[in-house]
Amino acid sequence: MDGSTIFMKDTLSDSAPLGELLIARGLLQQKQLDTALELQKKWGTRLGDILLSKGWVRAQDFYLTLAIQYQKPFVDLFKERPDKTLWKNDELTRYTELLVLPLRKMDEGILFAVADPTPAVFEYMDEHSDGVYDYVITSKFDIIWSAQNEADHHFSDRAVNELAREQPVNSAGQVFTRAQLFWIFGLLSVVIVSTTFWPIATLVLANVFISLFMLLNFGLRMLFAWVGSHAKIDVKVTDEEVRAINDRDLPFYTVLVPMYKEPSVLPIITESLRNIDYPLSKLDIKLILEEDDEETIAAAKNLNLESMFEIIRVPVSLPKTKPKACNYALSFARGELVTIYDAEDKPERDQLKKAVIAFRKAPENTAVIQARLNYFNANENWLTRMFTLEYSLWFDFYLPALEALKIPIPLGGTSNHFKLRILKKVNAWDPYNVTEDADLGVRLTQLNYHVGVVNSTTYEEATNRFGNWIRQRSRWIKGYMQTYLVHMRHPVRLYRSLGHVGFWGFQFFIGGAVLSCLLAPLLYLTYFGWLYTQTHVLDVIFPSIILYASLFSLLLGNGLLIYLSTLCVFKRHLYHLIPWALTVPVYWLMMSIAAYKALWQLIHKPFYWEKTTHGLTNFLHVDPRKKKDQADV
Amino acid sequence: MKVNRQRADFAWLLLLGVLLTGFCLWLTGNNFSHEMALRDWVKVLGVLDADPFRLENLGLDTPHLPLYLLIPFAWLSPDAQGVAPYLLSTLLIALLLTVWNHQLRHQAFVLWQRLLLLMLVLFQAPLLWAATTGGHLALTLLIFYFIYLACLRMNFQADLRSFIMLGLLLGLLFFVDAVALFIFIALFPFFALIAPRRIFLEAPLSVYIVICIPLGVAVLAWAYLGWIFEGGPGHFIHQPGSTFLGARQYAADSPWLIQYGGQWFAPLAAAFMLLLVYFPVVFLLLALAAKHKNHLKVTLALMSVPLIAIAFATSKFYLERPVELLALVMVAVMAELSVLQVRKGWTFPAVVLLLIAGGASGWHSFLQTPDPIVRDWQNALFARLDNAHAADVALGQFLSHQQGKVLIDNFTAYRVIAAHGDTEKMALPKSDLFKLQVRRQVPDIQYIVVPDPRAGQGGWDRINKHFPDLYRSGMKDYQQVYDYQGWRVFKHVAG
Repeated sequence: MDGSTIFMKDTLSDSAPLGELLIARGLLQQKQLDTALELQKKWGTRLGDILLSKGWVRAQDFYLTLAIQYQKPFVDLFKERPDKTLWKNDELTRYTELLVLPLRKMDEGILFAVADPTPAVFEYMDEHSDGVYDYVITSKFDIIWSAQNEADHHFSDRAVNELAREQPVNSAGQVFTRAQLFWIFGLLSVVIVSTTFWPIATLVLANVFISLFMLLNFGLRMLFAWVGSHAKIDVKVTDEEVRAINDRDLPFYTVLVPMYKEPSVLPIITESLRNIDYPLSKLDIKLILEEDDEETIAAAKNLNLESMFEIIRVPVSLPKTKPKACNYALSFARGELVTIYDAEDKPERDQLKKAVIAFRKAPENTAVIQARLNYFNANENWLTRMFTLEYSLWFDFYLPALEALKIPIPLGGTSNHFKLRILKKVNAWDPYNVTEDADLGVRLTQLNYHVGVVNSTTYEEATNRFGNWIRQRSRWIKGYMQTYLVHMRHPVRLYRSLGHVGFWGFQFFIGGAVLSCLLAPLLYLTYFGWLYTQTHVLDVIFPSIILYASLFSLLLGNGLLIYLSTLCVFKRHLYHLIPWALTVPVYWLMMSIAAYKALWQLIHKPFYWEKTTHGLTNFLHVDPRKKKDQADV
Repeated sequence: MKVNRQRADFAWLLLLGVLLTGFCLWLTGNNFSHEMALRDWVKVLGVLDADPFRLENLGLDTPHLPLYLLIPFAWLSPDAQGVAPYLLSTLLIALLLTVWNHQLRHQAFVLWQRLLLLMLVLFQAPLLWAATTGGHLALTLLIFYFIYLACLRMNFQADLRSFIMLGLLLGLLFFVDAVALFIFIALFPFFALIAPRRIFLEAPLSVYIVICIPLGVAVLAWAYLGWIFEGGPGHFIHQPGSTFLGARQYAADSPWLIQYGGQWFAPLAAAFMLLLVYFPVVFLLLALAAKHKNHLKVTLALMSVPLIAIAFATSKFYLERPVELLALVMVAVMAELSVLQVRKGWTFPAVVLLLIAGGASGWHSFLQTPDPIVRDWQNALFARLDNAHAADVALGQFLSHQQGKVLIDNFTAYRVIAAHGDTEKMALPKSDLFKLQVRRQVPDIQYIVVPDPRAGQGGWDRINKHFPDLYRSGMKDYQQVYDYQGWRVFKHVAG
């Protein structure tokens, strides 16, 4: 290659079509080309993207052929390292977006490595070389690998510190602010002093607070269930709308799949994504793997995945959390929309299309659409049944109700579909928050973005072992505690940004969920202690009105919550779970155990990510629309 | 537009409330009073006047919700307080009619049609009885109306809300009227017809669980409260005079129970005959519902519920008079009219004619009933009744002129307390003072009031039970200061 040669865009006009070149080189069959051309008409994407996404041509072969078509040399960036001095830190994201890199300085101008020679790339090279440039062809994997390899520190720093730097008030990096500590210690002091001098009055007051809280908590949950049970809330996007959508109009979609030490479930998620009802050539799937997780990296390589899958290796740094990994991968995202799936997820095939339609139907300021989550191994044991009941209530009733009532929605761990532009604008996830999704939902609402839900389900694996469940749940509750503390740093500001309903909804739905888990064992202990001893010692702290409120909570409140658990299966026709719902109080006790563990960890290991082990189930997922009963293998 | 409709609804409520209240005042002005209404009111007074305020003093022998609804009426002037239960029942029936009117308008009934239907419904004896007797029935009818609609919705739309509504309403009904259990039992077998077929076939047990849980929770909660406050979970069904026992204790005074008590098929047949007499319109509605097989099935099931409830409640000596459960059919008719297409063609005149015919034959039948309270009510429609409870009133007035605390049982002396107007100086059985006094061999209280234990309910009087010889022989340190038509008052004298 002569580095001084300047190529102009119109020199491409004489090149043979890519498909013919691939056939001529024996890399593609005519039948495949015909199919790809048909798909091109339907999907409206470039032929190369289709061939790569279908895996009909190896990436290496494809880019070599591309180089021939463009009459440019092909460069292996693993061997020929780019000159990093030409890179600009604030341009790194553009490099990965456009798949272009400054390779080295020429006598005159700059030589770029290009994986996707589009007009936008030529325009970019033109702008960043004073009009004098040349380029060589490389593969997109080379560009991503080089960018990661050379700018590792930069991407890591952004993933970990960007939110804390730009919006320190929204970062859970600091668990308690000084003002919060002041208030907590102040309140504790007042309670201690008050209990010392006026023990009865203090206990009565505490009792008043607890009773009032429990009553409102029950009432609010009943309200959510009532609103969530409305038939109109159920169907936001119809099957007809999905069928009617033109694939050409669909945007590019980035799918983030963070994984850690889960080689066994890797083939399952990749198969799920391969079968999703969306033009594959418009998918940009990132398998986000930790650098030290060699086992999963090896498994991913061995799968010989199509080119729509990209492996993003996250360098080891603290905190070692899922949001940090996602933030890291976000720097490489090229879609207009972006979603997250966990490794064990099985989204419904039309979920991405439904999300696109939901965005189109939603207000312009919609930043994220949350899909519903449920479990494919509901029938495995008591724990998975309880978990399914809980998720059905949460995602099928509560979240749609929160949206309808304009209360901040704590996003679920996966299947939340974002507008990439907005996600980046708000500095994405908080790497220090162990329920980064819940936090992000609240943050987006505070920033006046709309958070919506869509009637599409992702089936996950419910953890089927007690210890694993406690680990997962304690992380969630700890994350809720972090989220509550972060957003309550400035309660007045929060009140102003969320309004009355949003503020109180946040208090009860986020703060209340934690508080009720913590209070429940104390209340049960008090009650059973009284029942066993028949003591009158407690009479003085239960004046009539408090006694009635407590009795109401104990009898009707708990009764109604059990009732809600029986109802929540209706939308999914899981009627056989209804009798199991009667045992839900035992599950609540487990939640309390997890809550106390979470409280302990909040103080001692606030950023520690309790990893949930997946792949423990003996159940295979069967699409409920095809078959209602799950098959036990 | 919506605001205008809300205003119109409010105006309806106001107008109907005023009309029914006027009617009610006329009845009470003519000395009509209903035992249950007075008992309820005295209970509420007892709790409101007590210090400390204790809700449990309402007792668990009667459902609480109607009593809570009576509390705001305590702000009426003392002279007017006696009509509080009646005002409440008229307001509740006015509310029922307002809701119904709202739904009829939704079904595009024009104003004159709605007015005509409202007049005809009000013309039905069972509804007017419910509206003006101050009992729990008015609230029961209001809730049953929504239960009926929930059942229809469950079958037609199979949506979750209908299950929630039905379950919660059945649970709520338990806190309104002890008759809830009979309605539930009558409804129970029909869930198979009412619930959406697909869901029922898939998971029959789950359908029952979902519908029954709220009522189950309500009953268990009540039993638990009985255990906490009254010493036993079965208190509410064992306590003499409990509403949950219905008319069992007065069976001998109820012509209906004398004739049918303890039987099953005979009261069912009788109830069916009464249905023919009072509500012939039901058969037209069934014919109209038959256009849709599902609708017919549900309507048939729901229309049968009051009849089966009558039979069952009679077999258990609960039901004093059938008209009270028959009123549920009236509500069912109203609900059906709000969903069936009857406003056009021949159907509307047919409905009107059958309502008129049913109203006329119903009144004819109603006027023939030998039930003494019903006869009082009928007589009070036209003329002032002789005050049959003059002795109670006289005692109430006597007590008004005395100073000091009075040991008295509101179960037997409710009319006395109602005539007295408040319970501030009364030591009622739920109060600590009463419990303390009856534990003593000789009480230490200013006055003790006892009825003749051999007459009427005097034997159930809790003071007589503790001091069985008091009425006859008096007591050490107490002097008899009042003796009039079965009531004696003993005053404490220095020992």
